[in-house]
Amino acid sequence: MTDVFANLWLGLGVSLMPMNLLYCFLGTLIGTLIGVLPGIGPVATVALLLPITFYLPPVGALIMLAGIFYGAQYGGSTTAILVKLPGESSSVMTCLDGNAMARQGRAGVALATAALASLFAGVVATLAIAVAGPPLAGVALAFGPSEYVALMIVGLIGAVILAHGSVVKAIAMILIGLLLSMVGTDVNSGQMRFTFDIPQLYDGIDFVPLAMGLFGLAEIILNLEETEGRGVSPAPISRLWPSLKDFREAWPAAVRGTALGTVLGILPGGGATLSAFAAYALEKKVARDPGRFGGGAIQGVAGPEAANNAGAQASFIPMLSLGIPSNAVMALMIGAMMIHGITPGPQIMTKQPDLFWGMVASMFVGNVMLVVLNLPLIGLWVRLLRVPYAYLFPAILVFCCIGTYSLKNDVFDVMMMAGFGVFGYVLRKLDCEPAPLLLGFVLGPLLEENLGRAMLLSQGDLTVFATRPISAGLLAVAAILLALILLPAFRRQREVAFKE
Amino acid sequence: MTHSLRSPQDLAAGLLLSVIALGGFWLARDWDVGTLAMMQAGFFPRLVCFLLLMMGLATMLRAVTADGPSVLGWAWRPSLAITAAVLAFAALLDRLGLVLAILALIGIGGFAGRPLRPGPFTALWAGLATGCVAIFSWGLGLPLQIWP
Repeated sequence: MTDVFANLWLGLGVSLMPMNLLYCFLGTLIGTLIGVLPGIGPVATVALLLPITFYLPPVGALIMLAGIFYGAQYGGSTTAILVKLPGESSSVMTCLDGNAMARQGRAGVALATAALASLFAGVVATLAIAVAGPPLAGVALAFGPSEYVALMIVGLIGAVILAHGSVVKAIAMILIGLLLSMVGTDVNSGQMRFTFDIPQLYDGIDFVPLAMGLFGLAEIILNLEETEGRGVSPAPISRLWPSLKDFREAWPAAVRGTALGTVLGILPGGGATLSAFAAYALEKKVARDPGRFGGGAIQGVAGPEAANNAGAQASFIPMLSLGIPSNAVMALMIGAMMIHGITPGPQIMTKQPDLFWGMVASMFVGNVMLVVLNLPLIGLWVRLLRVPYAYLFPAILVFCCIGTYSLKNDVFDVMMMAGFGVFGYVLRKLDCEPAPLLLGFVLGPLLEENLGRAMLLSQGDLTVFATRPISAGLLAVAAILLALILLPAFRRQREVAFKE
Repeated sequence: MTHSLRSPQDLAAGLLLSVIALGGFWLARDWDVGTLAMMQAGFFPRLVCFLLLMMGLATMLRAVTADGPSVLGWAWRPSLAITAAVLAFAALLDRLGLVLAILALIGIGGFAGRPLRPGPFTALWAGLATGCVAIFSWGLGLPLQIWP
């Protein structure tokens, strides 16, 4: 236990350095700013803002990205409450009661509740990372290639469960991600794969044009199609601080949501969305008067908000200690780390402790900043919501283009982004969610390498996955998860959960 | 009738997946597969394409066995305008510089929604161009060509 505090102390030293403090502040500010814009979720926000972190030192870049991520998450809740437009699935539950509160003239209270619940959850989840990270990394150091393959399969199946709609299509998206990750020169044989003799593809497809196209451009097209560029009218804000009664009602919900979110966030495939859904269901179950839910119950804001923040933060645990992303945002974080030449995995903690603990401790700082920043600035976010989309989307377009160009100063990447934008739009039209694709893309090289190595070590014997205990256990988990999705009862529940 | 088409959207998705998978197979036709113990460059692509083909076929099968939505309307204007705008930006950036490339980008991109009137449009152009030059050229020191 003393180790945890010593480590956090080291981390605080790093994250409180003036420059890092500035990056953290800028990250949460810009993250909220972009995240507040309707129709831009955390994945799109992080993808859009990746390029501005290229020029920072690695620690600063990661601190800023983490800040952008929870800023965006919080920004999404703000739009959910004020205009009933969830930036992404994790704030869907906040919409229900949060927007109902806003329509009763209690928008300020709902926003403050969301901010305070998120702060509490963020602090607890950060402690959980500090406690659970090192032992998990210790376990991971004992992993051989077959364990890694099994672990990645669990993670990918988890992503499948959380994707909207058809399971088959979600698996297909992962496979397309794997295919895209193979483009370029094969490291072992030097064989060119899927390069079409285009020199720019010899080194593979870059993460940034892919993510920006699939999530930035495709989302602009979808938004224009749905709203035809109309603006939205946010609910007015009056009183900000929750009353004593509100507070008494909200805090147990926040505690329950935090606990649930922290546990569910660690699971592969878990994270913010699952946590928020589960927390809302739990609150409804334990409430004395479940009928109030959907009509502005403060527990319905505090619970899911605490849970999605805790879940979002806890999903850093598998990402940092195992190097396995559990959702699309974590896939983006891994992409960003690789751009900075850092390979995520159990070795970071021992080899670059200042980086690891600096980032973890910055989450404390970031969560506090989020509250300090957001409560006074709520008026500004409301005004931002009123900016017509006709002005916003050209600005987003410009940012996408220059951001992608700045990666290598090559317009080829910009053209590739245009292609992925259309592809992303096609996928959404066909009801295929592109988030699992990103996971497949990031995990592809790791999966191929470890699969090859596992088979080399076992001399082509496939039973190695079943005879080594850790990999057998992980594969059993994967099988159970897969069986669960195929069970009719669970299937129905999943459909109900995604409907609202 | 079980053999009539019940979900055009699934059929289209299944076809797309299958075409990608078959295209992958075709491109990977000459690559060495190796053995399970000694995988070569062709092994993983073929494995993934095979699984993808299975998913494509399963999706097409669902199209005739379960009801689903038809393919939703395709928004031609936004998708074409955004793509054309980004491609124009890519084509012009190295030749005419950032300021004019942004003009093309937001000018063509504007047709994706309701185009702005000349006054606000010019203001937006000026604002974005100044902001980008300030952040990316002066701030980050990117070697960007600004004027033609």
